Amino acid sequence: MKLRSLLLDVEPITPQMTIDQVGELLLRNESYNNLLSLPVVVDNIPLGIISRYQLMNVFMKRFGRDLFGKKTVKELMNAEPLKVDINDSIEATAQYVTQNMSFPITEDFILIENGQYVGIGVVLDLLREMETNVERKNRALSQTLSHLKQSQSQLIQSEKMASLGQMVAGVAHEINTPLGYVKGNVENIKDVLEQIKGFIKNCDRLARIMTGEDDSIDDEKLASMLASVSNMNDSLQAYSLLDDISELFGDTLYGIEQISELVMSLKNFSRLDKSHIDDINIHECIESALLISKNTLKHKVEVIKKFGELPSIKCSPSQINQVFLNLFTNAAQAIDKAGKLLIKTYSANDFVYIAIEDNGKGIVKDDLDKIFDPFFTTKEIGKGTGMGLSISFKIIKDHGGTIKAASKPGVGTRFLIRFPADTPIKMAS
Amino acid sequence: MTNTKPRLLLVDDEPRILRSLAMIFRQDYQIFTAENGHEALSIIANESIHVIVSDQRMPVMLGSELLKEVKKRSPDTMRLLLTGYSELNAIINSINEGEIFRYISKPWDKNKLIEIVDKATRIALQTEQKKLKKTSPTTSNKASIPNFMVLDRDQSTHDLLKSIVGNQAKIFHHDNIDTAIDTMTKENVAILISDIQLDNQDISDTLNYLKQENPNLVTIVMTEFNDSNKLVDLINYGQIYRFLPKPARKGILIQSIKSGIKNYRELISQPVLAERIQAEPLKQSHKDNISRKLMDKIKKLRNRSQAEQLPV
Repeated sequence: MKLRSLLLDVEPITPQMTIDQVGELLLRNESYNNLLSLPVVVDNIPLGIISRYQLMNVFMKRFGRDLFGKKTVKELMNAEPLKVDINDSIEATAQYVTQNMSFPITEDFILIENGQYVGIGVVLDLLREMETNVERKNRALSQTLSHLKQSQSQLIQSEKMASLGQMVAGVAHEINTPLGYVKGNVENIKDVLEQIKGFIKNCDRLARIMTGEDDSIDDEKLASMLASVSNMNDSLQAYSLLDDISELFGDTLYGIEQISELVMSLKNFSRLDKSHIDDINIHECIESALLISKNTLKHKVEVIKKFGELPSIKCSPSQINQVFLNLFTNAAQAIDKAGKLLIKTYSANDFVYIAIEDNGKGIVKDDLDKIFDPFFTTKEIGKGTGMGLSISFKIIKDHGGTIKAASKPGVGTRFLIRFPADTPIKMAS
Repeated sequence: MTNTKPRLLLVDDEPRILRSLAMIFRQDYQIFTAENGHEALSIIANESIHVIVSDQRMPVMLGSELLKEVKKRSPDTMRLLLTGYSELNAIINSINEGEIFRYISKPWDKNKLIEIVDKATRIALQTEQKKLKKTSPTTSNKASIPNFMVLDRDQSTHDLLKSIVGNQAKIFHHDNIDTAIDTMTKENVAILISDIQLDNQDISDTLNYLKQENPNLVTIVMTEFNDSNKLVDLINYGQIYRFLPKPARKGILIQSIKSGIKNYRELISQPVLAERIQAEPLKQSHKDNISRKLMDKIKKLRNRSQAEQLPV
C-alpha cells in the first residue's frame, strides 16, 4: 500500500489570512470538515499548519477574538509541521508520525513531493492502514506456521521411518544367526533320519531272512547287507549320532526361542495404538529396547544394568520404548571401538529415575545446549535427522517427566530421566 | 593312527553355528573350531589347515581381519567367509586383504556349502601335492612388465595408470566392452583395470565370464558403483583381484598393480595356482546378460590364452 492512497487534496491557506478568516473557513467550508488543521502554503512551499485546537484556544479566551482576530495566520501557526514525502512507505511514515506528533492529536500531516506541497494526510487514516497491514501479515504468519507444523510432522514421520528401518535391519540380522543354525540343524537331522530309515529297513529284512519269512536272497547280497548294517551301526556308535541329534534338537529349540523372543519384542515395541496408556514397568521397556538394539550394541558395548525397585507408571509403552531405543543407539554411536553403557534405575520421593550413561566420546558444551533442539545433529548429512532427541524430549514432557543431559568430551555422556510415579499424565494425541 | 582326512577350521562366535556346521562335515573332515580370531590363529599356528570358513562379525577380530592374517601366516589355506551381513567394507576388505575364495551368505544352503567346501579342499590338496614336487617357482625378477588394459569411460583412469607404468608396458585403452574383447583376441593382456558400469550398462557379468574363460587374467575393478550383492558376485563368479572405489588414490593403485604383476607371474610359472582362484560357473541368468556374439569371442580367448602362455 502506498502513502498516496491516504492523500487528501486540500486547498491550502496563505500566511496573510487573518485568524477571523480562518475561523470562518473552518466553520463554513464543508471540504475542511474532516480535518483537524489547515496547511499554510506559499508558492507550493508548506510554511506551517494551523489547527482548530489553536483557534479554539484563541476564541475561548475572554476578548480573544477582539484581541487576536485581526492577526495573521503566520503569527499563530505551527511553523514546524509534520512533513512527509508522498513516496515514503506507510510503515516509515507511521513510525515518523507517531514518534513526532504531539498529544492529544491536534494536527494532520503535510504531504510533499520534492519539497512541494501536494496535500494533507490524516493520522487516524494512517493508523487504520497500519492495522490492515498488521492483519495481513498475521494471516501470512499463521499460514507459514501451519506450513512449518506440517513439515515438522513430516520430519517426525521420517525420523520414525529412519529408526524403524534401522530397527528392522538390526532385528533381521539378529534373527539371521539362529535362523542359520536352526535351518542347518533341521537339514542335518533330516539326513540322519534318512540314514536311520535305511538302517531300520535293512534290519527288518535281515530279521525276516533269519526267521525264514524271506528266502529270496543269495549269500553274496546277504553279506553286503550285513556289512552295511554293521557299518551304519558303527557310525551310529562312533559319532554317537543319536546323542548328537538330541543336542541339535536342543540348539534348534533354543534358536526358535530366540527368534520368537525377538518377534514378540518387535510386536510389543511398535504397538500402533500410540496413545495406548498402561501401567508399565519401565524395566520391561528398557529390556525391550535393549533387545531391539542388540545388534547395534553387541561386540562393542558392554551393558551394565543396575535396576532398583520401581513402581509401575502410567505411560505409553511404545513411546517410552522409542525414547530408550534412541538413547541406546546414540550411546552406541558415541562409542568408537569398545565401551560401556550403564543403565541405572531408582525411585525416590514419588519419582522414578532412569540414568543412562555411556563412556563414549562425549558432547562439547556448545552442542550440549542444543541437543534437544529440533534438527540439531552432529552426525554426517544423511545419517541423522536431528529429530531423535527432540522427539524424546517431547514424549517425556507429555508424560510429565524431565530429561537432563551432562557430558564431558572424552569421558562420556549421562542422561537422567525423571517420571512422576503416579501423576495422571496428559497425552498429546 | 594318524588322521588323513583334510583339515577344516570353522570360526564363529555362536557355538551353535559351529555345532551345526561340524555335523555336516565331520564324516569327511578333521574338524577344528574356534569362537574368535585369536583362537583360530593359534590353531593355524599348530595345524596345517586346508580350508577355513569364518564368520564376519565376531568380537575381538572381524572375519575379514582374520582371513587377512591367515593369508599371511598360512597362504595355502583356502579362505571362505560365511556371513549374514553384507557390509560393503567387509566385502571390500575380504577381496583386497583376505583374497577369499568364496563369500557365502547365512543362512546357508547345505548342499551348496558342501560343494564349495569340497571344491576348496580339492584345490588345497592339489596345491599341497604340487608344492611338494616343486618348491621354488622360477620367476625372473628382470622379466618385462606384462600388458595392461584399461576399460573405462573415464580418461583419468588411463592417465593415472600411464603415470605409474610409463613406457615400461603396453596399455590398451577402451571405453566399451566389444572393442576391448577384440583387442584381447589379438593381444596378450595380463592385467585388466575396469569399471563395471559403462554408459549405465552393467558389465560385471561379462567380466565374470571373461575370468572364467581366461583364468590367468588379473582383474582390478575400479568403480564408483558399489552394490554389495554385485560385489559378492564379483568374488564368487569373477574372482576379481582387487576392488578399488573411485576416485582411487595413486598409492593404492601402485600397490595393487605391483602385487597384481607378481600375482600374474606366479600364475604363469605355477599353473596349479590358477586353480586357487577358480570362479564358480556362471548361472544361466547371468549369461543371459551377455550377448551371444560377445560370448563366442570370449570363448575363443580361452584356447588362445592356453596356446600362448609365454613365460614372463
